[in-house]
Amino acid sequence: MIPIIEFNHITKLFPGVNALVDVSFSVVKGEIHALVGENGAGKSTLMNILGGLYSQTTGRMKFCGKEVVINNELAAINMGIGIVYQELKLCPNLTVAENIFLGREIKEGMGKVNWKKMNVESRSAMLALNTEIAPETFVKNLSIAEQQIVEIARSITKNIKVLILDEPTSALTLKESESLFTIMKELQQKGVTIIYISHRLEEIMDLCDRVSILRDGKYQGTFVREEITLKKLVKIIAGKELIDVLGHSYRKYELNKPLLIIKNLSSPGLFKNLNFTLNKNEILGVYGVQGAGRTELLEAIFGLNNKITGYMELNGKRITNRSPSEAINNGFAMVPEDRRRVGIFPNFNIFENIIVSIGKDVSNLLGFVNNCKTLDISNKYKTELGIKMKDLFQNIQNLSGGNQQKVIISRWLATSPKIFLVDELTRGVDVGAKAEIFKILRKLRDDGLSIILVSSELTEIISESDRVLVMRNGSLVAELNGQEINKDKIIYHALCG
Amino acid sequence: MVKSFKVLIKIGNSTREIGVFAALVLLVIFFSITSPYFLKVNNLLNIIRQISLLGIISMGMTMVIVSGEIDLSVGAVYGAAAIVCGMIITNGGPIWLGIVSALLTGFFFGALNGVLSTYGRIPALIVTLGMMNIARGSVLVLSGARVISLSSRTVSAEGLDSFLFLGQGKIFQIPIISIIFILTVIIANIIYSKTLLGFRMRAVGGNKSAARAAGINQKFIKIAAFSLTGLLCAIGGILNLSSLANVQGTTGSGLELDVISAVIIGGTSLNGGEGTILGTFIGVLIMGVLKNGIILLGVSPFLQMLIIGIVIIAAVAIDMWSRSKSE
Ligand SMILES: Nc1ncnc2c1ncn2[C@@H]1O[C@H](COP(=O)(O)OP(=O)(O)OP(=O)(O)O)[C@@H](O)[C@H]1O
Ligand SMILES: [Mg+2]
Repeated sequence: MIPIIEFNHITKLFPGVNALVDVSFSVVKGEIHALVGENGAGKSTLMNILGGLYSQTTGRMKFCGKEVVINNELAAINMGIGIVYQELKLCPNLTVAENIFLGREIKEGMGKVNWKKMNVESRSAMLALNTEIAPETFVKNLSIAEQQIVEIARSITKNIKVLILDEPTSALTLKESESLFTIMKELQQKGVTIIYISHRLEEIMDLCDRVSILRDGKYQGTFVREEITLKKLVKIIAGKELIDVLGHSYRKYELNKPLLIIKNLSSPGLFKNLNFTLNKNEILGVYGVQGAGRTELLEAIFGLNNKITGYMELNGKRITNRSPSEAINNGFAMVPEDRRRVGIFPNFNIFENIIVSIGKDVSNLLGFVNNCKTLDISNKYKTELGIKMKDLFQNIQNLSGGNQQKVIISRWLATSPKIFLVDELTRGVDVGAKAEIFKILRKLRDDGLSIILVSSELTEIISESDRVLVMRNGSLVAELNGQEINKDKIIYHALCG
Repeated sequence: MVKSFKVLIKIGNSTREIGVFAALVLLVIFFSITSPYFLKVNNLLNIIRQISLLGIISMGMTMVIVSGEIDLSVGAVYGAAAIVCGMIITNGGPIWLGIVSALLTGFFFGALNGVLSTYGRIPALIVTLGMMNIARGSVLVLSGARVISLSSRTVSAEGLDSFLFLGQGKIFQIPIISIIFILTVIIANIIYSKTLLGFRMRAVGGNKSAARAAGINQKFIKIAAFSLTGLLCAIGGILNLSSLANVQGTTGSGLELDVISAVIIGGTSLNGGEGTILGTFIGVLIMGVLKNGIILLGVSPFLQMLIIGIVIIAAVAIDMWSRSKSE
């Protein structure tokens, strides 16, 4: 039990927010150490301090028994600390290999960069991570999960001692998560210490040797896995007993009122000949492994893809959504998978980020915005979803990842949609809030909303869907009802049905 | 009421303007100490007169830059509108026709900039660089590089005096063009900070893909910003014609750089998404005070350029540094 990292009385204050208060614990060499807590508990902040991105207000750190001050990211890397940040930090306009070697390019004298060698090494790094993403691919053409893997490849440098993963699985499906876990175990065998942040507590109970808990910036204790149950963990995280953590659907509706009919929808290279119906009062789960075409399907429905054939019928009338604004006018709303690229306005505060899609409803004929109305709406969602913030006028980038997600969800709920397309809705959202969000969704469903739920979290699909579609390689391979909605069936169809 | 007032303050993002305003105050203090003429009422009126046309165009430029684009053609469009107006009037057309045609010219060039850079998918830098040459070139062809001057000899239409009064007259000592400038600032501020259009300009400039996904027609927003700018260029051009009573093919060349400088000094980010009308207003004042003060000090025109260059870089540098600190 030799500690490799020791946090001693770490405190980090942001203007108006105490992100960390007197946090002390240590991470043992060679263990997989989970760090859990609600959205805004301070997990990412602590890791950012370790990674040299922030410096603590007060407190000290020891690394390998020696007192250290980590002033910048390079210092952390040189010490052997690799971080995969919660928000992906890749350059979309560069290739996979260029991203992996960014800042430590292989040179062959006279400053000439050896691209060939970098491509070869990237390829083997990718193989080591059980994927075959070509090193020449541009990052902008990768899915979130693939980008996640590139990030991991980048952080595993030769002298790595500690690998920090901040919610790496939030967009990964079961299969990809599992291969990530295999990789983590392999690294652990090689003596690498891993700090692992996740809101998927089942994973943590499977994977980790010890788990530390933060709540509101305060340290709540460290437990050996065998000492703690899932229920107890949830209780410490939330600070109270949570009933109804994993929602259960009461499928009380007859699914016989077709609302949206999709006919022969195809898009070259993405998906082909999709036919299905979405009913009124229905949560329709869509599952598939990466590359199955789930995200692409939602984007096509929402008007973000103009190269489609086939058509849609809404309430018996043929419609085309050539752009998101048309889709919104037709009553659609979509929470996108890639929060940073197509969700967040980094120049806006929370308030503006919430109201950006409801312009027409809160302004008069001349275009003057009614600020009392918009303020009421944002305050409503702030309380309903429990967004943790200083005030509504804080910049959105200063929110924790999960709270940013809640802002985006608010934006779309505020448009009062008829059809809600959600892609990784609860990405990075903590257990308590997740339960809260699904409670809201179920209530909206009962009031007549129809939802297409794309999620890589199988438990979410199983517990929330009234019906499940499974996609593989761009085709629909199964439709599951009632009793058929279970883990084995879904996985079977997703992989080989 | 109180609630919405609070929102407005926050939308105004006031911390940034305080910095720019402080710079203005410092400049004013410096020049009033070094030159006895600087604080004279006449001189101050002179400054505000000199910056009015620049200021009017800067309001449009702010919106274009906030939407994430840039417009290099403003000087040329300003000249073109003035020439169109001048030629119509000197060729016997009625004055109202001259004004309307000039406004249409400005609007046309602006809208064309917008359409080409959105639907045409050509970067605005290139479109407006081209448009700058097109506007300037067609004007030179039209006017044959002559000076077009307005006087009772060349203009037969009625109302020449009132047209000239627009650019030369004063109300309570205040030049009319400056009053028009102030009105433009007020209207621009209302559009920018109170309407959906202004809000969406900031959205589009902040994150183009997110704006599209949020249902915002970013092409429309950008075309609106460009068209508005073209219109303001035309207003500036007409007022310039009226105040000088003449115009020539080279009128307004290089103006675009002054306009962009004023906007940038005022704290608008070239990356788009951030900036305010009030900031640009102060930026325009800084440009005016600086140019005037330097002349009063008897500094050579070459040194003037050098100093203005330093101020632009310093202003942006201070802005960036203060921001990265607060993060
Ligand atoms: N740059 C910043 N400026 C101001 N406040 C910040 C900043 N970064 C984080 N915070 C605040 O610090 C608190 C802790 O945030 P942190 O990102 O560490 O949470 P987290 O535990 O990682 O949450 P999540 O599970 O949502 O990712 C939050 O209340 C957040 O709003
Ligand atoms: Mg976090």
